[in-house]
Amino acid sequence: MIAPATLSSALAVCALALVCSAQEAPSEPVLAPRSLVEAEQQYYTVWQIPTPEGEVLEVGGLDWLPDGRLAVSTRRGRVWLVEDALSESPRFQLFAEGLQEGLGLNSVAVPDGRGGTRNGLFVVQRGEVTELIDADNDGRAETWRVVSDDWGLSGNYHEFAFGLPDDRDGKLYVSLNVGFLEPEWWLGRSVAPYRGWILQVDPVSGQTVPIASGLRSPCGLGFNAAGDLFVTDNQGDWMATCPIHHVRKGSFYGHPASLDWTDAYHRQDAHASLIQPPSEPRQPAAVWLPYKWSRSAGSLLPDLTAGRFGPFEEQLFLAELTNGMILRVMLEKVRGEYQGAVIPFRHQVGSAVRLLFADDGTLLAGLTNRGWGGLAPAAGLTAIRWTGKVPLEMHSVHLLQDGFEIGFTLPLARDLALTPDDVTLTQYDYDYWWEYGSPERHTTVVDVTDVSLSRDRRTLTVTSAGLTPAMVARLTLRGARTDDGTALLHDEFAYTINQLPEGPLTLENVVKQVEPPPSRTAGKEGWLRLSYGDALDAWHSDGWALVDTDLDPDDRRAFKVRPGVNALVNVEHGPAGDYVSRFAFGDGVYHVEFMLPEGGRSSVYVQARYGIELVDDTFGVPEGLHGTGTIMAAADGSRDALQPEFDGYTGAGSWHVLDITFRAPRFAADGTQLSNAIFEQVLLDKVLMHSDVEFSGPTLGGRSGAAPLAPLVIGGMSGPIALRTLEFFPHADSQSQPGWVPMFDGETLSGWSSGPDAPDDPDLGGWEMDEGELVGYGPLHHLFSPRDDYVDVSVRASVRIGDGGTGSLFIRAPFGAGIPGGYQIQLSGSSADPLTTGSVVGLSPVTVQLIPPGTLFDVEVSCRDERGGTRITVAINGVVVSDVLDSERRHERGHIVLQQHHDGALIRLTEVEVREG
Amino acid sequence: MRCTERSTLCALLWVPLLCCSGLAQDGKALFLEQCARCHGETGDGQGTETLDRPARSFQDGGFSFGDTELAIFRTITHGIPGSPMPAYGEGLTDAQRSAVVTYVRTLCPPRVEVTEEETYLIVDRHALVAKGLLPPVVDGARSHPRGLLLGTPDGLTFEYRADDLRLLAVRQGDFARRADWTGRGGAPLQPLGSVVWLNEDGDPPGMFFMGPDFTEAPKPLRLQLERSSTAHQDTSLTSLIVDSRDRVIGSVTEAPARLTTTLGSGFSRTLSVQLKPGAPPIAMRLPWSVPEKTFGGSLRTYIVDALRGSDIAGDGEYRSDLQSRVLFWSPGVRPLDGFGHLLLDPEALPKGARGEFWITEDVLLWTKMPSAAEARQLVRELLP
Repeated sequence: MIAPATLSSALAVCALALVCSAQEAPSEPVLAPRSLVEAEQQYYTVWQIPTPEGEVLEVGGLDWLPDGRLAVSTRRGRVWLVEDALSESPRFQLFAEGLQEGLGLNSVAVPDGRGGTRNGLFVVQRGEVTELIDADNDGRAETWRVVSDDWGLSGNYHEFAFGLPDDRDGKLYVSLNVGFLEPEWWLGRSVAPYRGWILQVDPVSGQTVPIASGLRSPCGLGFNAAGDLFVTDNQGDWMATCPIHHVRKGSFYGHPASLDWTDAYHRQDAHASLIQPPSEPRQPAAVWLPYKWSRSAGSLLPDLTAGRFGPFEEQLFLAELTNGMILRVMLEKVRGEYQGAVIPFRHQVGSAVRLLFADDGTLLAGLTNRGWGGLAPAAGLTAIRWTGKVPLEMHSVHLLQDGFEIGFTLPLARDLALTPDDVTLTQYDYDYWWEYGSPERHTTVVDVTDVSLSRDRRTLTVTSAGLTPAMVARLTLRGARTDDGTALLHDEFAYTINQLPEGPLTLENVVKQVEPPPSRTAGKEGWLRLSYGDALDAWHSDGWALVDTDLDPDDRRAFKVRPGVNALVNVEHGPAGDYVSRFAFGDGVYHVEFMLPEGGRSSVYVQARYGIELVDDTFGVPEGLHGTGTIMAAADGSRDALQPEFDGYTGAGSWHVLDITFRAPRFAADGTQLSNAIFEQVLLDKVLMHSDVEFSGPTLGGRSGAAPLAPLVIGGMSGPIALRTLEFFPHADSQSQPGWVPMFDGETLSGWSSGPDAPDDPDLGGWEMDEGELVGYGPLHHLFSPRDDYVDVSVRASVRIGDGGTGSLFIRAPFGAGIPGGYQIQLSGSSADPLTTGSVVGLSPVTVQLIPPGTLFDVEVSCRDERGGTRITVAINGVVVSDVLDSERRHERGHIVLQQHHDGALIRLTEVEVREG
Repeated sequence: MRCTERSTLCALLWVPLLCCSGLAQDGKALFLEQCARCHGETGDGQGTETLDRPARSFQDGGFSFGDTELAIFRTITHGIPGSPMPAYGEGLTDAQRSAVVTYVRTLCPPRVEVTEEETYLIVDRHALVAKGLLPPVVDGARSHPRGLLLGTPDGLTFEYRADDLRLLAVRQGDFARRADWTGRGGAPLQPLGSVVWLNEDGDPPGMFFMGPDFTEAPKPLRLQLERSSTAHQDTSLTSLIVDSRDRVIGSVTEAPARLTTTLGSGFSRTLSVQLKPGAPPIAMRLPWSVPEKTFGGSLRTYIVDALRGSDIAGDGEYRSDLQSRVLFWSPGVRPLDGFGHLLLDPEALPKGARGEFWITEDVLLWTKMPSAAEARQLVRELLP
């Protein structure tokens, strides 16, 4: 197996090793003890190839040209051609510069259109695959041919494009990162087509075909010796640790963001949740790389050097950036699918991301770690060369039903008697969730029952009490050595057992679906649903209708409307007006979901004054408009329109989400304006478009002046638009008002008494104080305040009512059986009663279901006599939803009363407080 | 069960040590107080805390969300959701977090720091194309993820949106800085020249249209960049003209260049349009061109319009500037409506012509409105 190294090349190695060892900083190895690195150095020497002075070679792609020159593309968008790359003085020539990164490069023979072939040099930039052409042969690529740019770019920094291996048909492969956008920057997003996918690109026609999805940061694409394509990914959200995937058409690997561009999702305009696991079946990774060995996996390369790189013919080598090392991957097919083991190979090569073998068997590693972090050297080219001496290594690992067959590079010592005690075997799996990576889970020690060495002492069979599929097995072997005392160089491997060789196939994955942790921004508590239940109630809505809708396939400039309850449209009842909220809002988050037809246009005005454009740009953007998400120009001309830097709008026929965090203007008691309105954040489809935009006055088309509270207005007069899920999350006014007095002491009912029709048996129904929370349960009955002389009074409380439950708060009610008199304010979870939370029964109906059942909300009711009658106002979460004058003054004084309406759901109240006067 | 264990662990760890009064101000002391329990006193990831995933070793240099100052600052401020790394945004002041960032970066392996000087792209003998994310040309405008800058040796930079070959601006001065060589990459290119001409025409649907009704209901044709060339004699951008069914009906090659006349200088764009055999007539609109005055002439019609310089000045240098433009076109091209729309009609080509049209637009950046005599002189000077 030992390949003959020529004398001259061996001398060259020595000379270079001397030259380069002087250049290397003698840094302490971090991951591997010095003795291990020294041992590795006996078999594989490492040196740095000199690069042009002043040039920091941040390598993104490597390949050989047919004339023997090395082509190097860099993250700085340059392509260098290197003559005598492995010599002491390689000559670098700048072939191209100005590219937008170059994280993959390939020199490929392509048809020349005349029946022959020509050699094309292809590079993948962030936004395209490009052929670099030097037609005038002056050594500089003056012509850049755009081969394919059939994928999207949002402008997010993380949207790297990697590549660029070619298959047997000469097709090129590109892998695309998801973006990490504000504000939820820890969740990868695919806001532009095919982020998180692998694409196949025809280098001549440019035809581009999406191949596989579910990737996060797939830095390394490469073929194995058999011609099958693999890709590495990087640990993070939905990636438990760095995997190696076998790439097959139609496969999904687990990161959900990319699913938006599958036919199934895209056609229905579905967006995959980034925190709930998708239902798509995941193709198991061929290998999960232990975190301690791989934190940023780069490219994969098979050893096709016919032994010139040592005894690992046809195995895969993998560049690991953070740990600055090379790993070795031993794959086999079990039940028809690839799986296998990984083992460290060579430490201290620098931040390797790309690998390439030279004809003489030298392995080149292209380095870069800018912004990513990794071991030094941080840039340049490392050459790794076999010294000709064979290390004792676990050469191959073959999975048995209950153990492993381990092949060695050298025969083990004759006098060696390995026992089960020399082997440690554990198994573990991972969590599949949105959190960043996963710990190793369910780690169990597997009993090793037998070890037996083959007659030629090259194969060790390890038998265990039983292996479990859909887990990784980690095996450490101690004491193995050769006759001459050479110890095992690397004594530990990790084998990803997707399936065992026999027995029923498991449907489980090594990375197990678990209960997803709650989103950091989860929770509907505090939101007011403005379009739920009676979707039109909270709005002035001339010409609007509640329907189901899609774009009309025959005319995508229009909606096709069906009976339904999932969308509000302005096209059903003739000319429509604007959709204007009945309630007035101030500080908080405004949530508007909308869909435009092709060429559609509308607007959202917060407080009827501060406008954002909604414009579909299928036919371009009309004069005077700028595009969806643009904050309109100031009405007084003091400020131009503000377009978002990032075009987040992805097109007609899709639902989009606009979230505006708003701070209303502030006013002194005398009405003087103290501060301006501010859009603290504007998010389109959860991506930040604007932050901290202050308004000195209304925008074009807005109401004049300024006000602390004003309605939300959605344009309905500029053309068709569909709306759904309109919500508001009020931000509490922090100004505390004096005079509020608790009505309960937190431990007892504080003198309140049940009405005459309360159940006698407290098991059947009643009121109790449970850790400071007042809970009403059982059939219809009431709880009366100790005092019966309340007149001008305000009551407030935090309330939670279960699904289906209903209750009420009465003011100025007399004591008695049945429903009390007095002003009745309805509080409800979700019940059949059309009157919902915030209604003043008989005076001010509210039929929109503002409050999701089971969630906490604040109610504040005020009842006051004034000229002309008694005014009752009800605010839910600080938003006034009823404000009514009872000119008949039906109720003059009485108790404050709480009602539990029916059995089956509870009403819970805390912080019940009263203020008089 | 696992979740419970985990959340207990996290609950303990998610609380930064904020109880101590008089937190240290220097990065190292803060690191030892706040970070070393998990990351180790030397930043080797070997802290005393037992974690279900090891803390990052700064000595190894690996960072989940980048190792730039900004990225580390953000990670310290917000923590890493789903990992034991807590948020210090409320526990440490900005200055304290910055100090920790500075200290943490000293624990990392040597890194390649890009100097600003390195990031300048210089246009020397040849024109140079730079692709990248373009920042908004003016405040409040959009950025363009697929941008293209074409710098010519005489100091002009033509700034295009590569998606549809829309010329956004022309600049004069140094070429560009590659800010995307810093950090993890992805930052916008920074064109360096001052804007001397700005496309102020909103966001119209394109340069070419199909009929049949060109003026009332034009159907936009898409341009798709096919190649750029910076050869000495050929600085150009070639695009395919594609209809709504993705059929290629022709191509257009745009050659921008500096223009010098005795009356002033500016730039020119020569568009040569080649339609495929059998292609229908198409219309063209130079979208920014709103002619104020049209002079007739068979093949040498020109349009002069004047815009107030203050509208186009980027930095006030062209306060009193006036802009003039002159159009020339070849046989087969005729004005469609007198408002900047031209019809490219293969039927109207002279016999034997191969379906190729050219249109040259010369834009002069003047300091005054040309007189009629000057305009005539200009046309004589520029005549192809």
